[in-house]
Amino acid sequence: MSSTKNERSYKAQKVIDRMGQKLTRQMVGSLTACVHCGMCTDSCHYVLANPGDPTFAPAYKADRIRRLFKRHYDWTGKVFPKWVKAGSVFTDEELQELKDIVFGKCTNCRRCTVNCPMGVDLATFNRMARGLLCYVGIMPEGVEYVAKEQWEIGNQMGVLKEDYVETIEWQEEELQSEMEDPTAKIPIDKPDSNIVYVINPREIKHDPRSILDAAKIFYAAGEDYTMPSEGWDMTNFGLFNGDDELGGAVAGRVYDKVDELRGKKLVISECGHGYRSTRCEDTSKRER
Amino acid sequence: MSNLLHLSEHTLQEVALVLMATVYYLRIRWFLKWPLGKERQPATGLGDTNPKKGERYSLGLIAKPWAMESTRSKPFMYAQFVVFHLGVVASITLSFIIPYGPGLLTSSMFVSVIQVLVGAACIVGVMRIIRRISNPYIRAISSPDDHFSLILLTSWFAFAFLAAPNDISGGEGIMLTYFLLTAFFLMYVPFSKISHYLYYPFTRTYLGRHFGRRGVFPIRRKPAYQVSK
Ligand code: SF4
Ligand code: SF4
Repeated sequence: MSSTKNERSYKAQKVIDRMGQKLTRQMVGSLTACVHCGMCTDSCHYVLANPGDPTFAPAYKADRIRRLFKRHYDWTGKVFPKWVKAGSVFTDEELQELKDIVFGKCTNCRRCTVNCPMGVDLATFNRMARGLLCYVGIMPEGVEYVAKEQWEIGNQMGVLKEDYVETIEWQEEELQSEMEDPTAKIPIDKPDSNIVYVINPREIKHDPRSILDAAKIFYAAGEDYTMPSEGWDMTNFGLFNGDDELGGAVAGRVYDKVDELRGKKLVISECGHGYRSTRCEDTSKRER
Repeated sequence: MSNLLHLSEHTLQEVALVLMATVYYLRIRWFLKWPLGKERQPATGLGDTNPKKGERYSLGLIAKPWAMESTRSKPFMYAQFVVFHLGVVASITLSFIIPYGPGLLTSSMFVSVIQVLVGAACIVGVMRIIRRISNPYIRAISSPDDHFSLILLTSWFAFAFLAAPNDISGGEGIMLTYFLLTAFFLMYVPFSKISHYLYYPFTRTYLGRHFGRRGVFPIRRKPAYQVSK
């Protein structure tokens, strides 16, 4: 639902209200401390890739979020909004514009953070802003689709359990034939294993040869391992859409399965973000 | 000395200072009410650092221009930063010396030191104003407060330069303007971005703690295999 300038859309109001619940002191410090010195500008790869366009500057992007914080949560922005460039969001179109910035113009890489003399950490509150938009269903289409699959099916490519198991069994046959050993196994849900091996759904869906390659290594090493039939997706789109609940649920499923199988170690296959997200998105505080 | 000048050197400054301290107190109280974000991931890294080391490193970065790429690659900007902030310290100090320790200003050497510091800061201020207006990146991120704060400080430096000899034989105009500007500055600071130094210890500590825990700070300058745990 969109709205006119004076009345705020339902989603815009939700974003503003939720911001108050999600802000931490670290974020508030970063939102308050920027002096607009521009020292971080050249550290952003978007700036380097788009010469002459100041809208890619980290501080400029940060200010798109900062203006909301100032307008609604910092009294300097409540009292003198124009003076400190505070502002609000009213329409869903404005939320879409914010989406293009927080998802499309920043990778949360933190190069600007380590180059800021003030210690302003844009990535932290950019992630929060992503989460706020995600909360009202505003995020890039690809991310939305994948996040939905992770919520509903349990893995980002919507692979059903029977397809997963069938693919592993197929790779097990390949392993037996390549190793010329009919007893070679890719164990599924074997309790008390030394290693629980979890993978990227891409491997099941598009190229299971990497599962076979890993199985060959485990075979050659004589490793006691297993692959879980559930909780096997180590990718995590909570990391990308800023949805802390999704992040916690996806990483939590992996650890839950390790606990259930009483595995000693968790090993994660190749992925650009899987290791980090599995390690940091789980909110259960369990030992690992 | 006229009553007006006496008032602006003493009572006005004291009132301004109390106001500033009160607003700072309220700001810090407001800031500390926000809940501290919790670390979600277990400690990471090679084990050669920890949150405490990270904090110390992070807080010390300001004095290590070689440590950050942004300051390493722009030494001139870093030099400007140093000069500008030394000017602030000198000008504030001067506003206390004139009413409470004018004897110090009988030394022409001392006056020259103050004048060099605030004079250089004033030149940097002018350069910064030009940069803020002419550089499209800086212009795009600037608020009215950014422009005003800079102009305010630069003019304040200019008047500090002129007021440093503490000589009112030619009239009280300069001294009066300097103290009025100082009082306004003190009252305006807590509402403006000039108060960034209030948050600086917090932002740097939190960031250092976080990066120390993740094995990022202190940034390692040698390959991982040479790092002792
Ligand atoms: S984020 Fe840091 S480096 Fe960038 S403009 Fe703000 S204070 Fe300067
Ligand atoms: S976090 Fe990375 S991508 Fe985002 S603004 Fe900073 S440097 Fe650019």
